[in-house]
Amino acid sequence: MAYKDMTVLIVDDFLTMRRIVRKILRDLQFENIIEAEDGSAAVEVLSTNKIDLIVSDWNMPKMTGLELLKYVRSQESTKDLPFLMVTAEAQKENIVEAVKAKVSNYIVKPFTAAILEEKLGKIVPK
Amino acid sequence: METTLAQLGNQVIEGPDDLMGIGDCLNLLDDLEKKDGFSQPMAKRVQELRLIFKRLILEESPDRAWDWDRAQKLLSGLSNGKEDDDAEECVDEVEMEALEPAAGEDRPEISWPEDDMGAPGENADAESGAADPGNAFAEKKSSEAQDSLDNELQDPELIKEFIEESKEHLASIELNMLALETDPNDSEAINAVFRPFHSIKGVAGFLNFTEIHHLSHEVENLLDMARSNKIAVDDAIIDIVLTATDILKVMLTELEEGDNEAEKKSCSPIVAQFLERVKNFSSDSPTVGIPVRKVGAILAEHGVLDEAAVDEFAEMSKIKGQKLGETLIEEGVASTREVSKALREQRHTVESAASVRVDTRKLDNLVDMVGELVIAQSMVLQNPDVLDIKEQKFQKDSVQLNRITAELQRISMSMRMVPIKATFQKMIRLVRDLSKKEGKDVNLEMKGEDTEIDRNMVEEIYEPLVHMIRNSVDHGIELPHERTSAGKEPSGTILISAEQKGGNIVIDIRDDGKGLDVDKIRAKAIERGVISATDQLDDKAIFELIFHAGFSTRDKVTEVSGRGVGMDVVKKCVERLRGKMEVTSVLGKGSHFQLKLPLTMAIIDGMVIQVGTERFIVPTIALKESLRPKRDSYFTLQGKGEMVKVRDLLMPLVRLHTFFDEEPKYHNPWEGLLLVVNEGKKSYCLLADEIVGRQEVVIKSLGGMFRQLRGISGGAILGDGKVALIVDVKGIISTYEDSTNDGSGRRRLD
Repeated sequence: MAYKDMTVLIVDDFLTMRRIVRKILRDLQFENIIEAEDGSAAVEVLSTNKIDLIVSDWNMPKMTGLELLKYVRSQESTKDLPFLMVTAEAQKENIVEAVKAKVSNYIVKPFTAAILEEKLGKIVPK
Repeated sequence: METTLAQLGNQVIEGPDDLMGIGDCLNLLDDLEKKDGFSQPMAKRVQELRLIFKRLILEESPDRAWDWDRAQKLLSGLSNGKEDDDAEECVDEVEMEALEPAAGEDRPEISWPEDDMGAPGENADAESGAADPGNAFAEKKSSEAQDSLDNELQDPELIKEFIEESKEHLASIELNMLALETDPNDSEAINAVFRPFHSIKGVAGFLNFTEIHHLSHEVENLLDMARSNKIAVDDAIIDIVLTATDILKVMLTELEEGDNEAEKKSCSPIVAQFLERVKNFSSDSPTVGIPVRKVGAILAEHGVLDEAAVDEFAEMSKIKGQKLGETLIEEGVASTREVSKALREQRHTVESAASVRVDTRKLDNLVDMVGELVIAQSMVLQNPDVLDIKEQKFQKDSVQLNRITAELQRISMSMRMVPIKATFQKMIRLVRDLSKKEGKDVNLEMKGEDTEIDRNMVEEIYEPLVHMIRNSVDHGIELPHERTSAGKEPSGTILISAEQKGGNIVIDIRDDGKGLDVDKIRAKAIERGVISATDQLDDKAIFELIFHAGFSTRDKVTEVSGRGVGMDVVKKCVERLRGKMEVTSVLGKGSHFQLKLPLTMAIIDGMVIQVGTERFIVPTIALKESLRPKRDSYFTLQGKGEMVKVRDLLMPLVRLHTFFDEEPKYHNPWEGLLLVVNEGKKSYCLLADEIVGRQEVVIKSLGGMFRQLRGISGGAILGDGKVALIVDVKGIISTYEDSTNDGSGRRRLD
């Protein structure tokens, strides 16, 4: 599926961060982008929308990225959904935990469109 | 054991980038470890595998291809058992010494991480930077990323947003720090303080604000240590965090004023000094902050030194590039304790000048007690013996007492009141974001922002307000070209206004969008089974349907409504607050949502009614009208029970005396009094004996035991000291509906 036909869900509690990720995704020709401000909002979105890719922050109030990942993997309809975890350099070590919870891949802040594209290449067949 | 090994053997990892495959494998390794027969040689293989996987995951392999190759060998060794040549080799190797790589083989020089493997959560150590070999590598990578990011994201709009949002988050920090001051182990509060720094750091990284990034990063580290209980939250940490917040605020303001370049220069002295302080942090270190007000003046006030000396040392500290406090300590003029005391005072004076922060529970108690006082007063003054006192002096004094308690009540209530402005202002941003997202042009106008509302209510109304504004932007305002072709201005307007009316606050949200389409809503409601095709509903009742759970007139779920929370949530919220909600709309012209909420949750405006020997309180907000019907407007309908006809509308009659099991004064509705209430789509008449009066009462909850009681939402003490129960209209109606349902089997016309 071409990027422009995919629906991406950005999950981050920080609005500016969502804007940035959105901008970078747009640079990669993504057109359908939905935002959620934490894991539980993302769960709501998932229940009503067909999502092809999740780009989620780790550290969020209410429901963290890891909890969201576990939820996504536990649901029949989303268990294979490409899930890209955004993490900070300092918290990178935690990624092993996310890998055990079957994260598709992760990306360290800050990143460029090129880095994101490279990561996406590993998890979504273009 | 065998099956786990077999699973491990069958586990396909497509390559070093296949994290999901690696994840499965790691989980299997965890399983394996728990099985019986897990041998020492196996343990070593598992240990090495974990280490290699971790390096592959974190992209910290010195030689990725080698690591990948090795992992595959180890895996097959594990699943095939010892016979495998490679496995033997592996055991020998590993046995050499705590995973020290064997010399010789064509393997690059690598340094193995020293910490235990794969233990998640052990991240704080790595954050100090130098300890982790992967860090230098990664940092280089991110600085490369930085260069290209620089051009991509220098969007003034984005920067503006960042500044605004960061400031908002910083404002929340102070409050949470206060919570930490009272309970240093409040992990939720630590998290709430940690998160903004973390987010600000993240975005600053993208936007290449090195100083902000650096500063927030250091504080984040510190808080992370506190979070993992490595250090205790004490005054020193609180000081650091607050100072960092202040510095960040200043930096953000500078950014806002367009001083973009200043930020990018290498660390300014203030930040450098601060970072130094964080680095040297220990609980005993002197707390030297960044003065906002003059520390010297405070010290002079304390009599530590005179003002002339303050000036002198201030000069000296400037030359040295130090803070005054530091110079004073260094010169031995003031002790660390004195300086830190002055600094703390400095911080507090800022707050006390404008306001004092008080725990809301104390405030609630005060309001509660004042409520009791008012009641106690009227109990005394209405005592028959006291009423008999005709002495003039007494009469005058009791009027005075009344005045004072009334004023006291007003003041104590007002202490919990805050202007609704802040809540309204949050909508500006929301509208801007939403309209941009949807390509609409929307103006948000506000009126009556200074209207005050109970602090507890402010938080409660935020969410319904957001949903209604979202709804207006999403469903109400049309796209510019649609508006132009409808003969309207291309830009739509949403007006939110607040006003105090009696004991209520009325919030109106008006938009000049396309309005609600009665036919469409009706059709949808029938389709969704909310109503049946034969139901006769007036326009108003149809508008009400949009508050029905799961109702949406839009087929396509947009990003906005995709949040999955509809107007039904708004309604529930409003009901919980004992409020009312009304919609009016003209198709093509716009919609008008009105929220009517009590000013406070602590007091309600109630109608005191008499039913038999008991008095009850009906919240005035629930009442539409009260009337005494004519004899011929009362009749009984087959299968529907008793009805009263009020202006051509049939309303079910609900006998309160039956509900409360009282012997009423009047059995006939034309003798008693009917209270008309709206519930759901219908109106009902509640039969009472008479209305005693209208009164503001302080709500007392009934306590845990009675929480489940239907039809009663609380109690209140009346003027004469007797207790009256507060009627929960919704509960009574639903009980009534349930019983008529059971009794007649048929309730609705269909």
